[in-house]
Amino acid sequence: MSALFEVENLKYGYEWGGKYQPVLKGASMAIPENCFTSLVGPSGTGKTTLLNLMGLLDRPHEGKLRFLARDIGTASESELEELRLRELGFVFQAFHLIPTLTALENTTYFLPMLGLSATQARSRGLEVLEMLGLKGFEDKRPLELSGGQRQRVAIARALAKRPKVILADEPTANLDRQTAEEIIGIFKRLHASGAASFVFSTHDLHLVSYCDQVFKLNDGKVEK
Amino acid sequence: MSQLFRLSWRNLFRNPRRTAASLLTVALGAAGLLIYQGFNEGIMNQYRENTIRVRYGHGQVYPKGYREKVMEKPWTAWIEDPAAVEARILAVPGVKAVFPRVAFYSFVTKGELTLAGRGEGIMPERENRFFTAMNFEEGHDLQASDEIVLGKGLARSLDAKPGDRITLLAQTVRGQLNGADLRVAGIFHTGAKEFDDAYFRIDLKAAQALLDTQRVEHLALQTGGVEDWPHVSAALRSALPALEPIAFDELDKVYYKNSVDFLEAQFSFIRLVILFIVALGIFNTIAVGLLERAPEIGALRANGETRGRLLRILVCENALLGVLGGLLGIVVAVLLDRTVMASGIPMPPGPGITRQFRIFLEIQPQHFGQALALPVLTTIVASLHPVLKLLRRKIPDLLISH
Repeated sequence: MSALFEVENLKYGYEWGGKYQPVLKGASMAIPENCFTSLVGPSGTGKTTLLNLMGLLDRPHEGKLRFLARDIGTASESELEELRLRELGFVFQAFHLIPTLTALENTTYFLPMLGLSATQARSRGLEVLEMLGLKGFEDKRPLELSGGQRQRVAIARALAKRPKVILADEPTANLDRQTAEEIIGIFKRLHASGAASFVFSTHDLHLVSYCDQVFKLNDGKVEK
Repeated sequence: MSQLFRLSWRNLFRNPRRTAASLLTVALGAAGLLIYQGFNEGIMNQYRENTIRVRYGHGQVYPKGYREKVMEKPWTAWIEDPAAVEARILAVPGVKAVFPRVAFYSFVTKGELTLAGRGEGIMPERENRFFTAMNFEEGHDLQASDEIVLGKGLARSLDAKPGDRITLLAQTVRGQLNGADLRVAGIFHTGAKEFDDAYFRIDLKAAQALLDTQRVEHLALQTGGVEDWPHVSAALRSALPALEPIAFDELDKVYYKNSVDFLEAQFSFIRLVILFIVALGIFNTIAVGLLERAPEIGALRANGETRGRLLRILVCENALLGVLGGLLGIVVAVLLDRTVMASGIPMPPGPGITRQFRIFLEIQPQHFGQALALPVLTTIVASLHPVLKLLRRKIPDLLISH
């Protein structure tokens, strides 16, 4: 099976108070296609940093990161934008939906950028929302939806692009147990249907228990 | 494009209270611009009407080069056969009326008091219909060939009032001294001190008799309006090459044109101040609004949204704020014009003017374009710094913003 992500001796850190603080200190791992993977570890060990780098939101300071065999360190900004648009979907703990748009409009936001007509976008948006159990909520705005429904709209927005992989940063952290279960079920079902690969950063052991592959981050390095 | 516009429009109303505050700032700025411009236009139009209807008409026709040359015997250059010239001028499209005149210096004597004055011989039966801003304080305009009307300052210096006898002493075109006994018909007050202190007017025939000539110095013209002058002037130059048409604003350059230029320069400066205040007023609101949206914008960029598209959305959003604020400002300005300012604004005498006047706002439809365009430009400029600053930030930084 070919690798979706290849991470080799990845290093990254932040400037805090004028001092460089390393967070990733030589992380290495490989994530295959069609994966259901989680990154776990205590707070501050670099889960979100690694997920951000895998989501092409930033570039590594040292080491290699390949996504679909492309070296991210040497890719141009517009190549990264294109990869983020076409191959990646990102779901966040705080949903980050556009409050002035309806569930359907949030879901179809990126589709015109992918060349879909308004009719095609609407049709795909309705299909994805129905798949996520949001039929009848298409015209609701985020503030009219519950936390679980908002997270489902965020998943729908990522999924509607038909990306290779969906990255989710603590997707169940803001949800109650029952809603978190629903969301985990949705991820599992989508994975089983071959809709996309999934990589999570999480503290949620219940979610971890469903994963095929779990990487544990410890002191800036990855343990499988 | 429609998606970008729709997003911008919706974003504009995500925080109605903040948008209302920004709209109010922009609207007040736009209304301020419009009212100030209308006020300026009102002053300029009053100046213009005063200038045209007191002395100059829409323009005057002189012998070519007459006003530039210093002449020992200026009357040698005056227009011969004025009736024929007048007929040719009247044939030019756009010319509504012609007023032949002679201008001369003379001694003005009342009793034992003698002063130097500057007189004009005019045709009162024609001029009374058009030159309506002479503003007679006492008596009336010329009605007979043995009458004289005096400027207020000149009348005061002579201690003259309607009914008094005045003697003019002037040199004829042949160099002899000649005199005319006239009765004061009225005392005028144009507001221009220099004019009121030295000028008098008599009947053209009486002036020609005093100067012993049949010629006229110049002809004042009434056209369909100020806007007709350029083509009337061009036609006159072509039809009567020996004559020189001069517009009223050139004739009254010192007062009218300089005043207009001064007011326009002042308006340009005030306009900059207003726009700067508007930009400053909305800058903070825009910056705070964008900061609140940073995580959302980070999430969009994480999913493939481009900086270029976001820039267009955010600029369009602020341009819409400018358009709405501008439209609201126009409504506010027009409402104020039609209600609280409908009776005009009383103004003290301006420089060189001795009477108070009342200014009516003259908000013209052509001002609306500026009242819309400038707020749009201002909101875009005010938003550029926070927008570009936001878009330059790394996506992970945006995502953790609060």
